[in-house]
Amino acid sequence: MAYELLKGIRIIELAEVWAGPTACSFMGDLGADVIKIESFPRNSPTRPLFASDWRVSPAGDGPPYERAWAHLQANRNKRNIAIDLKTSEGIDIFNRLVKTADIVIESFSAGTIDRLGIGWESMQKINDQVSLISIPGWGVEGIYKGYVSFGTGFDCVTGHAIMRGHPGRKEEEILGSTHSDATVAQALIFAVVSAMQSRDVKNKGIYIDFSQVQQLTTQLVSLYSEWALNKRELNRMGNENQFIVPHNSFPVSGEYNWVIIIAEDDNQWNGLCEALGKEGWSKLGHKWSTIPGRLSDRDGVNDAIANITQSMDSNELCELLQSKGVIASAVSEPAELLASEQLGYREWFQSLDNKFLGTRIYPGLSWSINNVKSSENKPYGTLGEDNHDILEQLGFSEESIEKFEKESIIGNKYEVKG
Amino acid sequence: MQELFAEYNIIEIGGSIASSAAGKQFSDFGSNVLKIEKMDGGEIRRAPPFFEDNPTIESSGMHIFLDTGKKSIVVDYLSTSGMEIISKLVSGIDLVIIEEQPDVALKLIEVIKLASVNTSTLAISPHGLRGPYSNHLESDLSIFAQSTRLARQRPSMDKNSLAPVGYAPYTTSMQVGLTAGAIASAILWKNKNNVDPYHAEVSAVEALASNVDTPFVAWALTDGVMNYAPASGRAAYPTGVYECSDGHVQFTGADSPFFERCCIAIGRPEWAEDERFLDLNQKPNHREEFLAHITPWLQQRTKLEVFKIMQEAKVLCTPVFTVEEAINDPQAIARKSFTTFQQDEIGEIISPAYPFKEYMSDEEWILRPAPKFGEHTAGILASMGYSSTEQQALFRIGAIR
Repeated sequence: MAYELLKGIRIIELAEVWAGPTACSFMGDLGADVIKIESFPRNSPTRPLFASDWRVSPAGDGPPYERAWAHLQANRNKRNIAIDLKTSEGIDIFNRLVKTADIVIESFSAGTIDRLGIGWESMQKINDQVSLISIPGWGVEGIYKGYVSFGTGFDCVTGHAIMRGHPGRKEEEILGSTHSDATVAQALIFAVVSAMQSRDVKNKGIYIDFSQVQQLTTQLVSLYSEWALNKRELNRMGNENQFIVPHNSFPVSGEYNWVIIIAEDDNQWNGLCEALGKEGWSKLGHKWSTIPGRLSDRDGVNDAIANITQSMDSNELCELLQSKGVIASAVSEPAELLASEQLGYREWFQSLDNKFLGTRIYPGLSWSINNVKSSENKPYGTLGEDNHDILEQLGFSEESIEKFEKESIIGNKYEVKG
Repeated sequence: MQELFAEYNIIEIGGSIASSAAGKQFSDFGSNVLKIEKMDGGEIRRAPPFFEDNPTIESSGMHIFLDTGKKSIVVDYLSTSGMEIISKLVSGIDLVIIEEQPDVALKLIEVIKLASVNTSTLAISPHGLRGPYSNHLESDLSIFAQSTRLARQRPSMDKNSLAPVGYAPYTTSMQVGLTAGAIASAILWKNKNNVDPYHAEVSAVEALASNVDTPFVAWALTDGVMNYAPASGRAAYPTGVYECSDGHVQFTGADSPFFERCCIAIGRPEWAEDERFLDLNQKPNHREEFLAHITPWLQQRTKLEVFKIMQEAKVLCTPVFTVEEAINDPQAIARKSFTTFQQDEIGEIISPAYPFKEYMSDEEWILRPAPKFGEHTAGILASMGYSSTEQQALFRIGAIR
């Protein structure tokens, strides 16, 4: 499915791993013409060369870098060209792409594109209507120029990681989070539209300096407002909430199955008590019948609920609790998401083709537009799949394209290892 | 940059966190954003933290942070008189963002369509406005759980492991708001001339499950074999959080070329060429040898010293900061990543500034304070032609504040 809100915008994606490619995939979903420039001959980081790599699907018999879920999940609805940007010919191809582009998104560490000779100054000379959005981890400007990290690191430098986890556990047990990849991807859509808005007014492109660290801080409002208002850091509380009891994950039958149960007010608590056959807990006079009472005996409430839920079936319990007006949800695994009655009703999942993995089910879009018909997806592109078409459109002769292939300026295969 | 969206007029209805987060993207970039608030203030004004732990309609940190630069009117839009106010207000509005119960949202959309054929709408809800789960009660954590995001946060594959654990409060709502802001920006840009309005929805579960950090695609493409990144696998070192002399650092350094660079940085360049560490089949057997070297090496250095050494070596390594440390980080100061504004009755507020900036621009990022509850009700109703008597009558029955 794709909508055509961004139809007519050409985006050149010079981005690796997740945040930038996911953003461009979303914008492909919205109808933009996204041309992904892949690294060549060095493999893209999300395209492993070993078949034994944990990111490679065991299905199919194609090369491992074409079967990597880590790559496929961030790269739909794009065209694909693989270029060696360390060659003058590769730079020439890039520059011709820039000439046709509205937006360039790049995610290398700050200063890299300048060293390659394809930075903002160069782009402006080629096409003063193009906008550049650079998304290095800590931004383009500042004293950390050239520093490197992935999303898990950004979660640590923003104060989020240190407050995540079960209370009393060591920092070494903090799990990685790629929340910044997801949020940067959405924020980049806003940045691209901002660049188009700017061009509409100024009749020229703009260079946007987009720090992924900075963007993540804007998403952590509970942490930063607590500091701003009360000069406090949030404590690690697991899945609990300082002001709501119960608000937790509870075990249910089976191996390592959990449900989230939350009763935000007395009505929800009453529904919970009724569902669990413990109406007495909600009768005035019982210690847990009021919010102060439940807050004062957090562990007692949690333990009592867990004792009942641990022998119950997850789906039956959630259905029962929802029918009583209680917030309840399974901690869903992918198979449960796929089985969701609601997502099925909304025909949310989509089938997409891949040359080596066949037709598979993928998540649907982040939004729906009720009064606009969606168009079909472009099948997943393989490495350098559109080399010829794109180069021809850029005016290169067939002879030149063959020469580029022969000299490994462009390509559509990596050297597989192992 | 702060005037980029100044040409747009936007209304926010519902007073929840996601819609407020979506609206903030536009109010901070110059749009005229009018917040139509519920009589009880809605979720956004009742959400902790509160200034000095004193819960009032004006003191919520979520409201103060997410309602910057907006106007506020308070209307009981479920009443007929209130609905009439909505229908009059939407004339000339480019987009109405709605976060309400599905039946209320659908009713509001119909009223808006009738009143202003050129106005686009965007409805935010947990599951979408129609379908078997559309009326389910949800919260941040339950949405996070349904999207498969929580399952991914499993501490270990041990069946006796503690439960998977979620993120900071309201991160789900914030991401949903960000997703809504993204599609809203595309709608506004596409429909600049208001000739072809769009009626869009953002379902919270779909917004999260469609994004890159869920395990669904990994699961689907590996026929259910691979759900989780094996961050705790024996070959995955150095990956995770490690202790230093004054705190902790985080590494994502197990893969080439970061592993080789790390070996050189910690004074073991020979390991960067040693098949015992480079061959993924052998690497798990030498985990302890590596940790026996890097652990004391880290403990002899501060997190900032380790950060500097590793970044000079181009190793994916960061310090683990508190919020206070993040605000005072030299890079944040150099980039003016935080700014302050004056909030009535509260004082100076320090807040993250821009989400992005123009390169080399010295433009100061200015945040305007959040409005008081119903601060603009009287003025806006008067401008719409409601007389003093009519306003008093509406106030008397509790339809406005």
